[in-house]
Amino acid sequence: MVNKKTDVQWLDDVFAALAHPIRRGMLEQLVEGETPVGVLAGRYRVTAPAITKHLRILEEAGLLSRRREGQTLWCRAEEAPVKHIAEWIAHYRRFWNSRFDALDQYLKTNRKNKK
Amino acid sequence: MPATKTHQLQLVRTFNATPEEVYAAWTSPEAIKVFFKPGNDFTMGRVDMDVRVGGYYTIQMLSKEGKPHTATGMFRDVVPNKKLVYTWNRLDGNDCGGNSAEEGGLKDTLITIEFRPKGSGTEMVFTHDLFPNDTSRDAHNKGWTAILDQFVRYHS
Repeated sequence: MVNKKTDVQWLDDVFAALAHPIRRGMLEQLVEGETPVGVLAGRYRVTAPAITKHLRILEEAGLLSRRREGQTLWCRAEEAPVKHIAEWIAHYRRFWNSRFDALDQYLKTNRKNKK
Repeated sequence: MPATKTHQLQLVRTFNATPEEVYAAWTSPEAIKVFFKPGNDFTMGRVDMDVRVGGYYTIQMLSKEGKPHTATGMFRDVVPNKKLVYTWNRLDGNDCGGNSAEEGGLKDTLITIEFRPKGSGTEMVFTHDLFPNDTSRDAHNKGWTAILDQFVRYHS
């Protein structure tokens, strides 16, 4: 799902998902481990439909997944958005470091030529 | 996993040259044509630098097959010999995985370069910010980057 969206759209979704204190609170709990939806919802004084809406927004941003086990609906935090960011960082870390190596060479050559 | 904030890349490098020399290299098309070349499989195409606040730049790198890899952006801040701030866009999409042109490429990321004298050389602090727009700054103030950092720790 994440890969089919544009990067910009995907980031917008992640930002929007994280823009609400309840959704941030839910994620903070979920990064500690998979949690039953009842436990997650029990922390907030909002209606069941409101909880469902928050979960759906997190899910659409790729930050959350749900699975049913018997009577229990479990929620967990998803790593895809974080992996995407980490890949971006790794790509540019390599790109810029090799540009800086080349810049170092350029500056050395430039100095020699001046002398 | 990076030790810096999850949403940005910060690199510090020391050069055996004055801040004036390092700054001149970052702003001169002739120098950029030398040090921006990403390996021997590439040649450099057009390089335009209009180094003033609101001015645009274009850096075109050409692959062996003649495929252009173009970086463009606008200067946001220019302090000669001290600081450069500009946006970095890769709209042709020949970027890292997933940023195809159809998908919008990599838009409006922000590069900040600071040049500080260090002994007889220069310490360059280079920051590439993935989420530089207002939305992200707001979100940052609201503490969501802390959550992303938590994610990284949790999954690494």
